[in-house]
Amino acid sequence: MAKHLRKIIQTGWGLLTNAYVKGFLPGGQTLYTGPLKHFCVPGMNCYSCPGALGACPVGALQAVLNERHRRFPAYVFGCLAAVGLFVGRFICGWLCLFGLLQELLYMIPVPIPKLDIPDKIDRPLRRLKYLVLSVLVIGLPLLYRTKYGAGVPFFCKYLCPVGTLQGGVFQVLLNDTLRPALGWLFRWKMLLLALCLLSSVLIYRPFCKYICPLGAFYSLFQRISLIRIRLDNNKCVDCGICQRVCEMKVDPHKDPDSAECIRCGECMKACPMHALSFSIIGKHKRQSED
Amino acid sequence: MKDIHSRSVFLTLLLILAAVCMSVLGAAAGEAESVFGKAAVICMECIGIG
Repeated sequence: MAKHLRKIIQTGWGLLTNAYVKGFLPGGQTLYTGPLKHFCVPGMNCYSCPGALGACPVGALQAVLNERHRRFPAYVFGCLAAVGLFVGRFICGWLCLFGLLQELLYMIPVPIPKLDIPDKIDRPLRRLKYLVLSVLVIGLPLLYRTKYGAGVPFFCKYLCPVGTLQGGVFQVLLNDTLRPALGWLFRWKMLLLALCLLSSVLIYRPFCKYICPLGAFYSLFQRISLIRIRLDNNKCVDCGICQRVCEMKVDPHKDPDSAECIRCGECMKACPMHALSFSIIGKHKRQSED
Repeated sequence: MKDIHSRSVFLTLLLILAAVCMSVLGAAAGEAESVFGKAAVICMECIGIG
């Protein structure tokens, strides 16, 4: 049970936030339209998923930036910043359904070795998610307007595989009236989704590592968040096991607050000396001083 | 040393409070309604139609 605690929480959270069963029934009301849709869920979760009970934070951010009268998205930004300041990328590791899906795909055994992207390619690619956040989620939705004055949610429209899977696939299967409208954009998004899912079999969480704008946003708070990973230098024997088990390629004994750490806790489980643990900042430092 | 760390906890808590205040002010300015307006209807862009 404890061994699979994270998977259980990820699955439970995914089911809880997509619990509008009526939406999945053919001929039923297509989307939940109750008051919970005013609130953003902390992880990537398309609000067009038939079962979605909350709003997608990345979609919500673009929706506010797309408004005719430009304004700072204080509500969405404030919610996301509060979550980031509290737990950092813990959300990616524990409360993201799309992250779980990629992890499950990575568990599929294949006759060829899993891909180990060389550092000189991996490092620059990791910065791509910051470009996605600043250009497709913030910059273009804020600045670009069509001739009718409407904004465009560039990330949702041209890139997001979460929306294609949760919204696109389900809505197209359940809703006959949408099918005649499918064109090149849908095919493009399906291609991206297929690439994302297929690459997940060989690469651990490729979307989270290279593309996810929400992970990029939360990573900005990793070094100042309230909950962090603590390394007890008195217990650590520099065996390097924590680095070897980390699928996100973080070295917890050198940089436990790395922007790439999704705080999944696998390093803590693997550490034979129990030198790594979750802690509230301050408590950790005081213990080190003793 | 202890003071520096206590200050960093205090600063993080202060920032969390500021973020919560910001979201409350944003919601009061009608931003939550904008989010609801988008989230309660099928997003054509998300599907790949719009």
